[in-house]
Amino acid sequence: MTTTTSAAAADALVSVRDLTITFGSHIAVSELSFDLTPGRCVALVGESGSGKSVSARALLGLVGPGSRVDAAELRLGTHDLRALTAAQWRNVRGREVGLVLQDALVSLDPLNTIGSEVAESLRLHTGLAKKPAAEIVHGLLSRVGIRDPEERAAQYPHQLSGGLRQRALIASAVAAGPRVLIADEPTTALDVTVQAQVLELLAELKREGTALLLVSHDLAVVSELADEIIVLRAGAVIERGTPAEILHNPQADYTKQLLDAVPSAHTRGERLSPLPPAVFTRQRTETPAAEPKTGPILEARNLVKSYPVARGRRTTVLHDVSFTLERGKTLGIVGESGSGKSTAAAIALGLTPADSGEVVLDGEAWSTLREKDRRARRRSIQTISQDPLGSFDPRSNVRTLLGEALGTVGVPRGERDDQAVALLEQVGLSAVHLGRHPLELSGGQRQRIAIAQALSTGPDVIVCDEPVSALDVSIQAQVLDLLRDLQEQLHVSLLFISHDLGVVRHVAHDVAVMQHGRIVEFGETGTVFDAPQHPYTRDLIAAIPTISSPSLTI
Amino acid sequence: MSTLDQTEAPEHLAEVTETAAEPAGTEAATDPQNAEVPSVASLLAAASQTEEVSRLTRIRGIASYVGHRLLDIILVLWAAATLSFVALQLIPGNPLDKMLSGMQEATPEIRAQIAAHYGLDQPIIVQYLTYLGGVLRGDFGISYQRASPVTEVILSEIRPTAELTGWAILVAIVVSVLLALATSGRRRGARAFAQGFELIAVSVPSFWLGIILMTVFSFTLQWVPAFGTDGPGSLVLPVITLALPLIGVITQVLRERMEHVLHEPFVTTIRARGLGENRLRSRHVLRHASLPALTLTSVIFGSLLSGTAIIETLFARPGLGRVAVVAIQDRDYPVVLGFVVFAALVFIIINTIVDLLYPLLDPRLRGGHS
Amino acid sequence: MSLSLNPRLSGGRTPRVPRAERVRSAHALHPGVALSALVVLLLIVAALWPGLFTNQDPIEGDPASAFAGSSAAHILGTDQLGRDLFSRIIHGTVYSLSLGVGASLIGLIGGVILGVLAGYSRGIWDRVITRALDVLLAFPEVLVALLTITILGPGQWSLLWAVGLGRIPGAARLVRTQVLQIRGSGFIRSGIALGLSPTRLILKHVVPNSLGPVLVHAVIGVGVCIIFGAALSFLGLGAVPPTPEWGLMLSEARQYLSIAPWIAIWPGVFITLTVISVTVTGRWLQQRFISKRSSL
Repeated sequence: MTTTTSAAAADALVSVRDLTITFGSHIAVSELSFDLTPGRCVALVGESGSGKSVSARALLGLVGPGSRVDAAELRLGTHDLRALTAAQWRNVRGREVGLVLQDALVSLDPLNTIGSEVAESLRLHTGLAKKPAAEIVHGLLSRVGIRDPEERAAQYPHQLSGGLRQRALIASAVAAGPRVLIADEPTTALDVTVQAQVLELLAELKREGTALLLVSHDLAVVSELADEIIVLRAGAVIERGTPAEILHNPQADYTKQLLDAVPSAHTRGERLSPLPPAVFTRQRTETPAAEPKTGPILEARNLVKSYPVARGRRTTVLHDVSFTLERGKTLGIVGESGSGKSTAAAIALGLTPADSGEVVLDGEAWSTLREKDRRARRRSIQTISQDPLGSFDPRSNVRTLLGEALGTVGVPRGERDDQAVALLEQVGLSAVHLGRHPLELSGGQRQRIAIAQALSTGPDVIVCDEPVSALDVSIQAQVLDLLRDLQEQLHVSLLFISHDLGVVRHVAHDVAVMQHGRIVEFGETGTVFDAPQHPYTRDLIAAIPTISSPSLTI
Repeated sequence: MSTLDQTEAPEHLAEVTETAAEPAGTEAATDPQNAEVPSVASLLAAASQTEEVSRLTRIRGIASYVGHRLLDIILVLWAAATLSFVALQLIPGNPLDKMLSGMQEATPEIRAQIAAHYGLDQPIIVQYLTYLGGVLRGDFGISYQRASPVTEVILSEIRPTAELTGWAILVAIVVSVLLALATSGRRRGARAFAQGFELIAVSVPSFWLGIILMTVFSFTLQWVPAFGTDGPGSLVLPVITLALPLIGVITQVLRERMEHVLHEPFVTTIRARGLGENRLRSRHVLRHASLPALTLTSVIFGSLLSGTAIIETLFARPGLGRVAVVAIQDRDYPVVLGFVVFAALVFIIINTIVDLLYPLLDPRLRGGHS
Repeated sequence: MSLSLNPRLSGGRTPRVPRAERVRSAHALHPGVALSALVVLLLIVAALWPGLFTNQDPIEGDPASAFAGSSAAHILGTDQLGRDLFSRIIHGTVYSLSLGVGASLIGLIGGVILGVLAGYSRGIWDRVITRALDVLLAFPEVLVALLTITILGPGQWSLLWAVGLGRIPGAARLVRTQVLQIRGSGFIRSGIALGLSPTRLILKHVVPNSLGPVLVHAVIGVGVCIIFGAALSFLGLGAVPPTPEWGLMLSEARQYLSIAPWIAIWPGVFITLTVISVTVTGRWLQQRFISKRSSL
């Protein structure tokens, strides 16, 4: 197990041997060992519940209340971390080890300027006065790539872009000059182009001699930075090795599954999860029209949408957006946050009116209808959202959720339970889930319920708004497979909105790339990804961290 | 004011309210202690906070904000005056009878004369407009009992009440902040102590507490005078009595909010910098918790209003509360109504000031995102 | 807009506590809660059948035995008119409890109606009602109570309305905020997308989900109303003599503090005890039944 660590052990800044962390009877991590040396990066990778964050927190003494940390060795520099007093810990934190969390919007104190946030740990550990500290802060900010540091230092986190915020967070973590930096999902909340820049900054710190402990759920992100990857699952080390070993020659089945589950160009048309295909039957009982209709199932024509910002001012979130969704196909809409893709989805669903332009459903007017007239046709267009928990009435259980949806298409009360069970079975659940409350289900199960609910009206179109963004990669794989199965068997058309290019490339037949409320590129998926025409599309594709990135071929 | 419709709200608005409001679900999932019932005060605080936040986010620009607030003040004053006038009309019986109840032989001539003097012979609508006009000029009529203008009665009694409430609120804030700093997110014992104290503080009726304090410290120990306004010593017991329920409410909200904030990711960042727990609370967390505590203004104001009435009665101090109580007992309607309008005015002025404090405390509420 | 809307993973998560443990800690009957529930039960019995606890007359006393201390005949002693204090306190239970529950109910019902109207009206009505409610909310409870008593005159019934009406604005505000939040929430949007009718959405989803906080407000408000009612009686604005109302008893006892402090002490003890027990029990009930499934 420890073959790769022995060489470095002597000059290690951090040595961890047989780290075990328990919460009561729950074992969060067991027998984890690794070393951190200057200029090298160890990555802890795993899905939620793998214990990766908790392990990293052990180096800061911030595991949390009710926990028990045991180790044969837990050393940072000259400190034995197993026997530090609270005061000694405070001396270690910030000065010898820094922490970067995900999403600086919530990981920096939102009521403080970023200048004072960065200054805090600096002044705490150096005792500098305000004035000289301010100058060092400006230097730190420009070192992490923030231009106009004087001006930026006086701003608050919410006034900065996601990338700048994250840089400021990193500056605050390295302010007191720690030689060890822990980065816990440092790029997870960021758009893909910004993510690439932040990763580059971390790589720079590493080159300058910082020892980096990277914690991530994303193997691709990790592969660009790590010298050693440790794959964790439910607190146990599954596999460890260099990125090349782990990514190209994985030994453990779990690692292979994880890698297989990552959607990308190579996975098109393949199943991502080891689960067998689902079997679907069409829900709607009425006889289909004698003459099957032709032409696109959903068509958006010149959508324009703006919102009032302040008095008299409006901001336009959609400029002349048009797209077509063909019958039985999947149209992927990709874009970074704020690109207007979710607004487009809301208009397609008839939940938000467009200022001008219209959406046509199955050849008939849709978005321009009055809600009263639209309601009767809503059964043919359904939705799955990123946050199924938020889209379920908190007072409902699975039975009432599905029952109510079945009620909208006139299923009599007595038959609803049977049909609900049939739906549950189609999405890979069973009758036992009928009485469950959504809170009692896992994220993947909730998304399956959302799919069952959407299917209950026998829709022609399902609008999927970031349906897998909140899921672990192996669960994501299952849900993507499920969506593919239902499309193949029911010929449902999917409007698939996502920020994740890999996912879109895997599922979509056609792709629309959105930026600042405009569709900058629209076409067949293969064409768009292989021969992008618009510079923005090219930037996006270049920024995707890929497992087979050239930097890896050592 | 238009309602906040999330389906129509642009993304950044949704975000501001989102970050200001808390992700309740995650909290309940991570902390068993916080799965506990929220206090009414914190509910009210949360409710008004979301309202204030959305209101402030929507109303950008100082000019338009001031305009809205001025309109608010005028509307509330008008409503208070109108409600008061309606109340006056709803009171069964002729006000003249009450006014003349002390006089044995009121001839019809005298009645007519008095009616004319008080404008009671005019049609209702004229009386109403006269009353409104009076309110605008600060004239609430003449007290039936004291035979002096209501405004004069009220103004002459402001000082002792202001003194009492000012000290009480100062004491309450200082004690609450110290208690919240000392007990939020600490060991079980400290928490249990804080919760028990808060419960007792809000459950003990202040008039009874005053009596007990008086019995012990004035009658038995004779440390401080029980009644009157002689010297600073006479303020001690009334201030304590008035402050205690406030301490209960404010501590509860501060502590609950601080414990909530202690679970935010940025607290982990700060701890990882090596900042100690005390400084973490006093420099960062307290400020976050003070925002919802600010929205307790209406609760605090109401508590002070009823509190002064009780305490001024109990400790035989002069003051507005005492004036109002006596006026109701004596059916001195002009004074009662003048008091209502005056209190509503003070309340809305305080509310306006508090609203202006929000953006000072939370930069996210100062419009103009970049 | 550069702010990211995707909460892809929550940052800085603290480890999860197993669900079973959470449930246990939330539902366990704490000894304090059990004691409070017992006190509440006894108070209810005392309110309904005071004869079970005492056979002495609460109204007519023997002036000769005034200011008697605690004895076998008079457990808590007698008051200035020689009436048995314990009997008066027991017979006073019904006033405090019914006032607390009644006033809280008035506030709840009025608040829900106004709050839902304000939160769910559209167009011009939305503006009118919201505005009117804003103005009404600018009135502290006390002022509403004072105005009500001014109009109705002192007495038990006017006290009930005075305290109850004062609760309405606060309750309405809670409901309105909640309705506005629920209206914009994901599951209402998904209900619309599912094709549910507006009536069904309002009655089956918006309103029930909006009630959590106001129910808490009402449950805990019982204690608040008891104190407030007693305070008004203490000021001579509520119950009238010789009603054995606790606040009024305290007020009457004030003059005799130096010779018979117990006349003032015992009613206060009972008010405090009642409020604490009702609050603790109410919170537990609320935790158990109301907030279990609400989005609070």
